[in-house]
Amino acid sequence: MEGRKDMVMKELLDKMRAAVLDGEEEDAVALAKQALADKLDLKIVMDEGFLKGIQEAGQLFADGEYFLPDLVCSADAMKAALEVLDEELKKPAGGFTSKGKIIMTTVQGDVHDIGKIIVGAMLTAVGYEVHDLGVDVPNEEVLSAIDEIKPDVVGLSALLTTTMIEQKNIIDMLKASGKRNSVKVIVGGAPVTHEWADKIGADGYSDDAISAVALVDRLLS
Amino acid sequence: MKLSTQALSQEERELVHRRTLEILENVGVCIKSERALKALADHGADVSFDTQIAKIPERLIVQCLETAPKSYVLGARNPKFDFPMPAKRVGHILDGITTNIIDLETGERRPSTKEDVFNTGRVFQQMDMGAVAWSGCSALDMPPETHCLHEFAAILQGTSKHIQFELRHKGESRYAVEILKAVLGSEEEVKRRKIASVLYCPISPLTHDDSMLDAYLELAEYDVPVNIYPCPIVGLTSPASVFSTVCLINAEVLSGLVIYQLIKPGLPLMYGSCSGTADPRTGDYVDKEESVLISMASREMAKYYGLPSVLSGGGSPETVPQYMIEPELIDGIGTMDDGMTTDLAGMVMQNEFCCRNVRIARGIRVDEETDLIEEIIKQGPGGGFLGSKSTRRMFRDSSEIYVSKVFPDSFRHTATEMEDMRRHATEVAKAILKGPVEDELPQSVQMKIEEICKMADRDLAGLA
Repeated sequence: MEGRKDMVMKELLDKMRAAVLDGEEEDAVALAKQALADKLDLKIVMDEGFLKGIQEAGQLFADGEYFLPDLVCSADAMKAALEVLDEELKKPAGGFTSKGKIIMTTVQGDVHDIGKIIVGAMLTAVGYEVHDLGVDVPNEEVLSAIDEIKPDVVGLSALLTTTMIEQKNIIDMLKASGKRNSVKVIVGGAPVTHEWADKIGADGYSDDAISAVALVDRLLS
Repeated sequence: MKLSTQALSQEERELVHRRTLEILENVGVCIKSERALKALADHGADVSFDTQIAKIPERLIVQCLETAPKSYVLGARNPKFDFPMPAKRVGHILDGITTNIIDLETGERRPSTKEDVFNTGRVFQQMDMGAVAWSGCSALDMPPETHCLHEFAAILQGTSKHIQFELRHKGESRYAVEILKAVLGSEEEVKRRKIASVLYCPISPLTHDDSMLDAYLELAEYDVPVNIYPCPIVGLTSPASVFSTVCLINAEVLSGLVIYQLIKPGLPLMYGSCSGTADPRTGDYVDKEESVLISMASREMAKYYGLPSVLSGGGSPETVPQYMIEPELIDGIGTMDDGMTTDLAGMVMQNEFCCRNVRIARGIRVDEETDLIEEIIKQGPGGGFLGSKSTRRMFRDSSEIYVSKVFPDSFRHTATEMEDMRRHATEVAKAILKGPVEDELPQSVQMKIEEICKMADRDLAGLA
């Protein structure tokens, strides 16, 4: 009887892994709800189910087998499962610790979304807790979110030469309010360069999503 | 006959139109400009000021297609460069707006300056295929609030061809008009000559931002033509198929057209299409094969509505089909790094590829001059044609036998062809910049433009 139970659990965990790996958001949500309803051990659900799926997706991407849309779908499925499990996971016995909290946002005056989404998906895929504030976010709201979420890193995206200046403005506002040292600031976007990042006092810059993950890993190591 | 090609059948063009109506009537577009939203609401569109979504009925689209001019002239500071739309020949647009330039002296990539914009205009001035100068590179040494105005001022002084520029804030518009008045003398001449147009990019998918749009709606009062130039990335900001990207571009152009025509009926517009495909591994913009097909289909949709067209992606050997479909303007000379770096030597090389593409697209001329049967009869078996009068004549006629004005044929098909071309092109660009400024503006006008820029720097500080 115990053996059969183990087998059912194993099958369920494999479905969770597959739901994330295959980017099946609805399946991931249903399986997460089932895990709560059946009062399963969430540490096992995460480690041997959902997390295993996102780790495999990340590895397939690194191996060149997965394309970006595959990875984004996997990250979305992972996020959807996490949202269902969120409250339980946050309890001391929840069994899940993210590698760090990240805020991603496109600066005010700029409505370009894509680069930020890709970086967010990559960070999610390697185990970071990503909070995406959206696009055209007023600088004051970015600062409020930093107060509220207390991220380890905030990523500021700007696609336009005219909106790059907001990256500097946010850093200046953090300095003025004495919070600059509480968070690492990384910047990105087509017109942004290493020189610009250095000039405005950012902690880092990357020109693609893969090196953005390496940058965050380095900053938080 | 000319080479011809077709990207969409008549039924497929009609399907693009129907899909576009479905999108505009049922999904709508997000318009962040209050002024544009109000104009649409006043004319009966289904507008939500909360969500900023406007659903545009077919009736309005038809009405606005009727008021959009089907022919006009893009004027130039030197009238010999006036460019009629529709055009008798394909012309090229200088690519832009980059943030870097390859330094001609060092060969290194570095951030671009206002002087670089001026120099880019000067090299573009000498390019045979160059018809319209977009601002080239960014004036990063100027204040961020007004760098677009500085770029406009610099490119306008660097070339006397038609200018296409960008603004990012409606506060800049009146200074742009002042610059045009300083060059042309009066508001009436600004309206009449149309020596500058603006490049307007809807933000794919289906969004019209307020900053650029509001700036251009101000300029519409001065009849400044608009190139509506959607730039979707297949798989990122448009669906992952060529056909649906064409539909999305069509919806973005037509919704832009409706906005401009409602606010200024009769304003000259261009049907633009610029696309790339997402790198499946990085998401980066890549200009590749799909762009050629999307551009071709967009040209056919522009023709379907009777509008002049501007396509992206010329200036390389694989873009021949775009020349065969005869758009008015093709963007794509002067930049590298997917549009992030201005390359003056590259501009000289790309101009050459454009000339070669045009020659191929011109096709095979069959007439008295080219039917040389008499020569064949005369020379007979074992004869030669090098000393024939017809050979002498045709070698001077580039419409038949293409001979480059810049690059010797000995460069072709060698292992070092591209290196040889680049080295030579660098010298050509340097020589242009060492020479006199063609059609230089009078000192008094240059000073006036400088004053206007300084005034804008002062008045618009902090507005970006």
